[in-house]
Amino acid sequence: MKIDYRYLKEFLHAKESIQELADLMTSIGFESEIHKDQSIHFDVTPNRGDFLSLNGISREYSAIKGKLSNPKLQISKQTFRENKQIISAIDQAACTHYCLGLVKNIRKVKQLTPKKRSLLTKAEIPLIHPLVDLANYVMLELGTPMHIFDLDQITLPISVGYLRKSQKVRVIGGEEKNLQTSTLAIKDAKKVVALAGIIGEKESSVSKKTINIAIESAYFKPDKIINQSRLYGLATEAGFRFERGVNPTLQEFAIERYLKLLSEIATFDSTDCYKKGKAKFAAHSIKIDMQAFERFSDVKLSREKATKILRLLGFAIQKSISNTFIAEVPAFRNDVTLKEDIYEELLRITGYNNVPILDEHSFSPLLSSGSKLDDGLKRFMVGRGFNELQNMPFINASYQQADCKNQNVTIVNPLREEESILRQSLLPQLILNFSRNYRRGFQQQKIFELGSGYIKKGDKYFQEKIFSGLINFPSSAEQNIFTLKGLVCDILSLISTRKHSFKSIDCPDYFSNLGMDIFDGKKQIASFGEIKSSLLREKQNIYLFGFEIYLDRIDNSVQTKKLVKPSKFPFSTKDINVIVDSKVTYEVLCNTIMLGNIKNLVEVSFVDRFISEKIGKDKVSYTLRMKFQSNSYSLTDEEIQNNIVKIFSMLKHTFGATLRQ
Amino acid sequence: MQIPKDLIEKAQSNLVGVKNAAEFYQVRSSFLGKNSQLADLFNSIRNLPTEEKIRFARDLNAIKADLEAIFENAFASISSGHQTHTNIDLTLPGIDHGLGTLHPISIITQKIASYFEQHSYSVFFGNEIESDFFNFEALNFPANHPARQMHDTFYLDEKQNFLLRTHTSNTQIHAMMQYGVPLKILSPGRVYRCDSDNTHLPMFTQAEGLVVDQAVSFGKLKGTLINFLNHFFNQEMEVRFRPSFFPFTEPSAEVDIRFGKKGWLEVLGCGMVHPNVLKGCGVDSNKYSGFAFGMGIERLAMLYYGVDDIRDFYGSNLEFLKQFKPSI
Repeated sequence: MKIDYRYLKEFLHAKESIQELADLMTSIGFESEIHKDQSIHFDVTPNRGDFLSLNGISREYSAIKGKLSNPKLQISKQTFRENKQIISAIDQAACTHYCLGLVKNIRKVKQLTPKKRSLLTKAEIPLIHPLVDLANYVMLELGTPMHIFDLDQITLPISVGYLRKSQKVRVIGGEEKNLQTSTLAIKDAKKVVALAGIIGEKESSVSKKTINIAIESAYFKPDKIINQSRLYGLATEAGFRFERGVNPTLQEFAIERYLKLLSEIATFDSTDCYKKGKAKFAAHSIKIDMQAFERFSDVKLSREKATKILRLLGFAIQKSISNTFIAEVPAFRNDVTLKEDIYEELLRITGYNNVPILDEHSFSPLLSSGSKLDDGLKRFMVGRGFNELQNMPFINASYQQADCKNQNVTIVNPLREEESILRQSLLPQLILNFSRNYRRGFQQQKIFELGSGYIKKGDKYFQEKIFSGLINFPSSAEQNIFTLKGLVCDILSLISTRKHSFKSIDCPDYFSNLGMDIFDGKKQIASFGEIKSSLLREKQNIYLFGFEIYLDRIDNSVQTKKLVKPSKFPFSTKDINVIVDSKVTYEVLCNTIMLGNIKNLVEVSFVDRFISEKIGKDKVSYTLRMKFQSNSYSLTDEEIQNNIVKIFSMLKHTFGATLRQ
Repeated sequence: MQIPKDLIEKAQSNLVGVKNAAEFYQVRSSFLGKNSQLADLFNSIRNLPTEEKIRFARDLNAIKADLEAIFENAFASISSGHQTHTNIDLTLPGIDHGLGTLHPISIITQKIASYFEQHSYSVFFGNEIESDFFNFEALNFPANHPARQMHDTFYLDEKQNFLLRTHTSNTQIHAMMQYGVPLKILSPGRVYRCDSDNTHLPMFTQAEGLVVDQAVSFGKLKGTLINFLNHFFNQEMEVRFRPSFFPFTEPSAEVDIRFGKKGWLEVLGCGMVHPNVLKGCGVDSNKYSGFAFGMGIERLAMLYYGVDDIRDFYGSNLEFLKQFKPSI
């Protein structure tokens, strides 16, 4: 809400400069911004509809200054009668109180005073017609929206209720709206004349020819208005106020105030006022104990000062005894229901900055922290020369590879259609990041991200923590995949002490066949491999490899590995070169040797793998390193050589292995 | 018999370029060893007349002492690594071991989490895909309340039962329901709003703090946040608390800091936990009270690093991101 400073200053009888007034209002919860046209924009929180008027500002100002500063507003006192010929029915679940003031033969209509016109224009309320401008002015004074019908363009009686069938209505401004059933509307005997609490229909609105008017002032419940504004895309001053709640007792007063001001700018013959329903407000009371307030806020405040603040804010005070009193909440403060709400009122006015600054609350930690794993992984990658990236999870549906098993999570109301899917994998975006940075000149990249993937299974949604990375190599060397595999194994060893198994890629969304899935039992916990070249924009000489680790699936319970007491006697190593069929893998060779009951053999490790026509077609040569050690004596060369012979015999017998010279 | 005049110079010359102890002893032996020229000269003294023997022995001993001093100094230099090197440009850069970088949002998140962990907060994570109940209803956002309009929500189904959380405050409910009270948590994480310009993104990061216990007060909330801000910016900050509105806290406040020429800047939202929220989580609001706070991590990161455009954080541009070296 934007208010002309000069008008406000006069209304409040204030002495503050525009900056001082803005600062004062900011300090009590209405963030104020000064505009170049010497107006103040108040950012009003959704719970404070009562502030959206000069009267509302005046109450707050009075409370800060410690004295009443509301000017007494003049009215033209009226009698409001019930008449079904004028107001036939209202849906009281949505509209508790509906009033109409009929004014006839209006003539010699003058413009509002320059001050009032300035107030309206600076409040960004357009000047339309003096009869309408006056209603808008009263709304700025009291916070109660009003609507003016051209009485000759409507057919009485008026009713308030929900539409039973959809219909088109051209609203003020000329836009046609297709009103749906269950829209709360104001109807005359023939047609819809307004969307309740939001905007009037064009034909029945005031024009230059208007001489007879019907002034509408009503109370619509906030929850009945809020969805309608959004549904029809109509953001109006009236709707804004009704959504936040207006004073449910001010409707008749607003018409009386309008009529008083109308008499200052026009001549008219007669006025008749009608109503349907009652100004309903069930006053409620809250008991306040000032000692409890002090424990809650650390602020010591006397009961007298507290009650004075509340009175100036419009609360009635009852049963003021010792340190306690009862505060009766005024009709316009629908946001106050609990003692904590009253505490806030007292703290706002005395100033949050006057609350003492105390030491922090002492406490013993209860929960284990999950942040350590994330931080540890990130720092590990940084140590390995990787750069961390972060992406938003929205991606283009066409870019996400059709997943083998899971449904996508789709956003119903995306900002852009091309960002309507939540990612299942971090790799698509990392590949895009890689390409963009490659074009920027980063020929060698090591990048990673720790984020979430999102999937839907049936009607359930799942979010999974994923750790992914990409690395590109300068050549297509076979070694690349093993460099990556080593990295992935290192990462897994940081997280879990369990033994994992490796299998060929099963669901190659992002990887070529040069890759593997990693399992913990039957549960897949990671994949790694060469990124499919079809996913890269750059087609030449890019050897991009990546991994994806599903952190939530990993059992990272700490199992302290039992330490082995080192032998007092030295170990010896001996290499063996064997040629076997190319189908025999390193893993099978190793397992065979380790399970072969070779005395004092403690470890088999990989040294080299060699393929050449010279060793035979479909043959492969492995160099394996055997480590021997005894806990009770130093092994002799002869013993070690005997073991090597045994190992070779076993491999010869099992795989037809030959020795490579 | 003549004493060679250039023995000292020769020794010095031969020591140049000696890199290790083995080379040193080789050179030393050639000048002071049993087969050295000096040893030969000493051996030859015995054949000289007495008077000449004395003079010659004195001269040889002087040369020997000089040589021993030269070799002693040279050895000390080799042992300490302080060799005399020529032709080396020590201004050349060190060898790059390829240290990577952390994302600035990770760095700031860790900085915040680490501070609060040191103050006995437990780090607690929540879900980004959330139900309407945990994101709104349990946090005292009634249906059809304008407060919901403050949160431009991404919905995942037509009935609007599931959504991307609009704030990390959902973790307040999960934590209280899971662990009960007393409780002291910090919950960082990503949140989502249908909004995008140079100061807003549809995704951003928040850190939520929640303390529920007996005798938790507004003054303690202020102390907590002012101490944190002073620590974060590593200086005494000018801080102000402004009344505000969040449905899940009462009273509620925005926290501003005065930041140089930029004036007052909002950095935090906070308040005392609303009794309805406590009750909804089965907590006796007459016995327990609590405070909560939430901060936008991108906002703090922008101020901390002097970044003007929030979109830089998620542009994945390595030229920008490689500037953020981690510190210990």
